[in-house]
Amino acid sequence: MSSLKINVVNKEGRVPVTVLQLIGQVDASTYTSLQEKAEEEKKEGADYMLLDMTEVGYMSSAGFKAMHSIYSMLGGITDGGKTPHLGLLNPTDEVSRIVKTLGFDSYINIYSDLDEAISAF
Amino acid sequence: MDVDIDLPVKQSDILKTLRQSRFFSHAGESTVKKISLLVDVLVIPPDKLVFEKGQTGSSMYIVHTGSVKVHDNDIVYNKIGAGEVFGEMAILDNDVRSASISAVSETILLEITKQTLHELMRETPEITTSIISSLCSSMRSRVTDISNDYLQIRELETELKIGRKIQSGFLPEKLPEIDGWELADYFHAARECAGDFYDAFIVDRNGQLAFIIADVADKGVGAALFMTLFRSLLRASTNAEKYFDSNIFIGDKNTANMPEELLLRSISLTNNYISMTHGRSNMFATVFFSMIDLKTGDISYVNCGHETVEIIGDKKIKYELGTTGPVVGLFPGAHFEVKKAHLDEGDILLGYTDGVTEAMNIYNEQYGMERLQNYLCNSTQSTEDVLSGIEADIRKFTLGATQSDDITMLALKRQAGMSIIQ
Repeated sequence: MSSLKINVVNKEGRVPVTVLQLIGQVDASTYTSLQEKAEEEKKEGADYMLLDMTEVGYMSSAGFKAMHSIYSMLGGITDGGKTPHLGLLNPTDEVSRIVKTLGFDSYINIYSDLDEAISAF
Repeated sequence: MDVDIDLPVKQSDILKTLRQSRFFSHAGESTVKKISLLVDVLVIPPDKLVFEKGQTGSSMYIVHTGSVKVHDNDIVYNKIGAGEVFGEMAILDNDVRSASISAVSETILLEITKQTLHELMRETPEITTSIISSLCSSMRSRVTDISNDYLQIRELETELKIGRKIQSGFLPEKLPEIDGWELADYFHAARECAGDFYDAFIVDRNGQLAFIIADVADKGVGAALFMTLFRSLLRASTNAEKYFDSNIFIGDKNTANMPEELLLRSISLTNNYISMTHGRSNMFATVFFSMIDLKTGDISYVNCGHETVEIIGDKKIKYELGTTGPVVGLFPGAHFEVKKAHLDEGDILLGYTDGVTEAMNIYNEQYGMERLQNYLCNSTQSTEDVLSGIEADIRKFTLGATQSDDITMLALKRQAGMSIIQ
């Protein structure tokens, strides 16, 4: 069975940003833990989230269900473009390829640098 | 009379718990009193691990107050309350712990060490009789539980088989037979129910062939339920007029027969319906939907987040039909683009789901796009032979590893040297 560890780091930019550092695989057996963690953080007041994908080796379609649920929970699109509430940091080449194939990059910003990401919120 | 005022529980209460325990139900009063003086009293805070699966057992325990859970990481098998015994197996058969135990709430346990129990069994035969009786009772109860579980599993399997049969009705019973063209399909679910689907039918409005291959997110029953919805919406919206009683015509009469219009109508309706009605489920499908002009070989297509669809001819991949929009079902009002391609005589259009390229072998390696394309470039057979050849190549690669995802393929060939339908 695959595993997913989630570390939470709070950063301050123009707005407070909750960084969820994901370590492992986001698939059918782990995606609910990502959803639940994001929901917990939202209840604690998080309005802006960054999913740090640096150490995610594999993301299945179930993982994208979780990503969409976080996207919707944080308000989705507000102006017809990409959401201002959710970003992805540093996905691996393979995860990045799938993000683009599925078209999520039209709705969620992808960053390669943490500071750049935090200041973009 | 209470003998140890330092204990968190009274001696009289320990005696009461031991008398109620199934483990010592056959023991006489003097034996129970003897045991009560040999137990250690442990206070376990909530969520604290008592022992872990795989550890060597050195004690057994009786729950005095509170409760513990029997678990394996996050999976909880059972809860054990006051008067019940646990941990006895590992000290009787000298094997390791078969599950982990943690306190649910603050729990007081009476601990009997392996050495104490073995001494008691040697000195007091009635204890041994009591233990054997308790173990028989426990085994009987577990046999009953297993029988009931087995019956439930059988019922669930029957339900799943019915579900699969119903779901198979959502795939084409028979592919269209068209002069000058050859169609073949392959579908093998990883579980009883699948999220993959494909379709091929003639579009009423313009006589073109609809060619669809799709993959609903996730696996199992949830994906299967949504598969029926996606497939029905796509098919019904493409040939919508067929399902009205009167002569209702949808769209602009000048453009509504054009494949571009029909494709966008169908995909947009399906996307908006599912995202607006079932958005909370976060379910989506990757969909390749094309219409092929059977006179000219011209293809109009939308590729909504799906794997590339290949056009193979002259022993090479001539075109890869990549994405033209996002997945279907998540983003209301999403923009999809219709693109064009063409099939020459002898060319094959091959659609497949990621179960093909991501098929795993026993070394956790994926079959991969490169291997698929190499196979296709050396293939000049009929569509049926191409699909069965890919299946055989996947089996050869996976070396008997369990199939982890649904595998679906749909192929269309424009036959060489054949008269094209008028």
